[in-house]
Amino acid sequence: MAAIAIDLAPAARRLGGMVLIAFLGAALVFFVMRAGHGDPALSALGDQATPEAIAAFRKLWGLDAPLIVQFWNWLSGALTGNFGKSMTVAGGVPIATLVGSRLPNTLFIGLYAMAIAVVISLVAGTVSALRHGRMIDSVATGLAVLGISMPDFWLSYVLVYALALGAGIFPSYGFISPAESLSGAFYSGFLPALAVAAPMAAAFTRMLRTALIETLYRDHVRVARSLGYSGAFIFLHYVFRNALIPYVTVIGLQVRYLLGGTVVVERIFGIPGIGALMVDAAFGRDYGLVQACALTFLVCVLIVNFLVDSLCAALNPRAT
Amino acid sequence: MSEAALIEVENLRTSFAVGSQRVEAVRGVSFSIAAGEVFGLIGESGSGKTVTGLSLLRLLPPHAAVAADAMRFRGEELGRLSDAEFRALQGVQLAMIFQDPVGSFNPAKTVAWHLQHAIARRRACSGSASGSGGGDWAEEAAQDLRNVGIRAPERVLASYPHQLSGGMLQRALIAMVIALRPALIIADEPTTNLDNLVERQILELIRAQQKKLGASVLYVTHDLGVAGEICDRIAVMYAGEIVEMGPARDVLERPRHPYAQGLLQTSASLERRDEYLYELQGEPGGRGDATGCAFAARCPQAMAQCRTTQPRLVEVGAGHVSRCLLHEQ
Repeated sequence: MAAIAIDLAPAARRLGGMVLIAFLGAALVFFVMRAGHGDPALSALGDQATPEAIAAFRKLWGLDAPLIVQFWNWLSGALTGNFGKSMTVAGGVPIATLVGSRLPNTLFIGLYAMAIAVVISLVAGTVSALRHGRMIDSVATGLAVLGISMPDFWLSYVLVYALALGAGIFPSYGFISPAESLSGAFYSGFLPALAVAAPMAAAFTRMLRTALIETLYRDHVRVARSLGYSGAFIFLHYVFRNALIPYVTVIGLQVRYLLGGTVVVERIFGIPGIGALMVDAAFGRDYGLVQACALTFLVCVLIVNFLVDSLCAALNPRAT
Repeated sequence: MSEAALIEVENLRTSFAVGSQRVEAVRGVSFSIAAGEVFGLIGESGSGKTVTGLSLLRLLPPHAAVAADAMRFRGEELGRLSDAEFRALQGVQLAMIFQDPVGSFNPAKTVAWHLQHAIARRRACSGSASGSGGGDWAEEAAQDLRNVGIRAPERVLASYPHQLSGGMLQRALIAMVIALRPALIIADEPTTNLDNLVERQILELIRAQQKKLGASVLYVTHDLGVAGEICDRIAVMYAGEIVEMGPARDVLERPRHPYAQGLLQTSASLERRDEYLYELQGEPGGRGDATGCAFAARCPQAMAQCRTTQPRLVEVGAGHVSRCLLHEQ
C-alpha cells in the first residue's frame, strides 16, 4: 500500500493540479467576460433592437439567470463536451464544431513555428557557443537580440512586404488548411509561422548558447578530453546532453507566448484559427465561444507543460 | 636525463592572458619521470603544480600559452604533435585523475556508461596487437571496479554519479583511468576531498595499481604526509619554479631549501597539534622581487644578495638539487 501511494502520489497531485488550474482558468474567463462592457444581445440584434427583442434574446440564451447559475449551466455542459452554440459570431452553430474545425489550423501554425524555432536555435546556438567570442557568435547574438526586440505584428508586415509583396515567393494572405493539402499548408503557413517563431528562436538560441558555454567549462568535459575522446563525442554526450535540460525547460516556458503570437498572426494573415476566432468572439461578446477558445488554449498549454516536464525528468537523472 | 625516462620536461613555461597582461604560472620547470616511478609535485595552492600537470596533458583553456624547450614522452617530442596526434595519446598513454571526483563524471550518464566508453577506447587503440581485445565490456568493467575495492560492482555500475559518495566515485574514476592502461597517470590531489580513512585506502589503491601496471605517476599534492607515503621522488614548487627536488626520503627528512624546511616545520607543527602553529611569513605563493629569489621576501634566512641574484638549482646530494644562494657560498 505504502509503496503504491508513494509511486502514485506525484502523478495524482499533478493531475489534480492540472484539473484545478483548468477549472480556475475557466471560471476566471467566465466572470471577466461578464464583468466587461458590451452585451451579446446588442451585438446580435444591433443598436435599433427593441427592448422586447433584447429581452427575448437574453431569455433564449439564458442570460437572464443569475451569474452563478449561468456558470453552473456552462460548466456542467462543458464537462460533457457540450459547449453550447455560438450566439453572435456564427449564430446557432455548435461551438464544439467551430472550435474543432479551427483547432487544426492553429495547432499546425503553432507546431510549425515551434519546429522552425527549435531548428534555428539548435543550429545558431551550437555554432555561436562553439565559436563564442568570434565574428559568427556576435552576428548570431545580435540577430537574437533583434528577434527578441521585434514585435510579432511588426515582423509579420516586414515579412509580407519583403517576401510576399516584394520577392513574391510566398502568399501575403490566406491559408490552405493542412486537411486540404499538407504541402500547401507548409507553403502558405511559412510566413506566419516564421513571424511567430522569430522571438522564440531568439530566446531559445540565447538559452542554448549560454547553457552550452557553461557546460563546456565544466570539469567533466575536461575529464572527457583528458581521456582522449573525440570532439564530436564529447560535444554530443558531455556538453549538449547536459545543456539540453535547461534548453527544454525554456521551450516549455515559451509555449504560452506561442499561443499569444498565433492570435495576432492569424488576424494579420487571415488564417481561420482559434486565435482569430477568439478575437471575433470577444468583439461580438459571444461568451460561450470565448470561454471555449480560452479553455482550449489553457488545456493545450497544460498538456505541453506536462509533456515538457516529463521530458525534463527523463533527461535529468537527478530529477527522480 | 636518463634513457629510461618515460617523460622528460625541460624549461616548461606556462602563462595565462589576464586582461591585456600575461601572468606566468609556471616559470621554467624541468624534471623527468622514469618508467614505473611515482614522482611528487608539492607546493601551496598557486605554486603552479596543477598547471604543470594540465600543461603536460594539453588540458588548459585557450587563453593559456604553454612553451617548453622539450617535452618528451618515450623520446618523442610532444610539442611537435598536432592536436589530433596528441589526442591519440590522451587517456591511453597519458591520463589524469582529477581532484573532484563528483565533478569528473558526466551527470547524465551511469558509471557503466563511463567505464564502457573507457574500455572501448582502450580496445580501439590497442587493437588486436596487445591481445586484450575480447571479452564482454560489462564483465571487464565489474572486474575493474572490484580491483579498486568496490564490493558490489553491479550496483555501482547501474548508479548515476549523484547516487554515489565521493569516495566511491573516486574509486570509480580511478577504475576508469586504469581501464585505459595509461603509461603515465597524473594524479591531481585525488584525495583532498576525502576523509582520512578513505584517503589511506585510495593511496594504497593507486600504489597497488601503479605497481601492477608498471605505470608512472605524477602525483600533485600539498600534503607532505601523503607525498612521503606514495612518492619515490619529490619536487617542491614555489611561485612556478622547482625550488628543491630529490629522492622523497632525502627531501622530506633533510630538506635543504628554506621554503621546503618551512613547509616541513609547518607540517610537523600541525601533526604535534601545537598551540601556536608554525607558519611561513607572508602571502602564500607571493613572488618577491622580480630580479632576485622568488622566496626572498618570505625567507627567514634571506640575505642582501637574495633580492638581486637569481639562484640556480645546485646539487646538494645524490640526485638532490636545491635552488638557494646559501648552497653557493
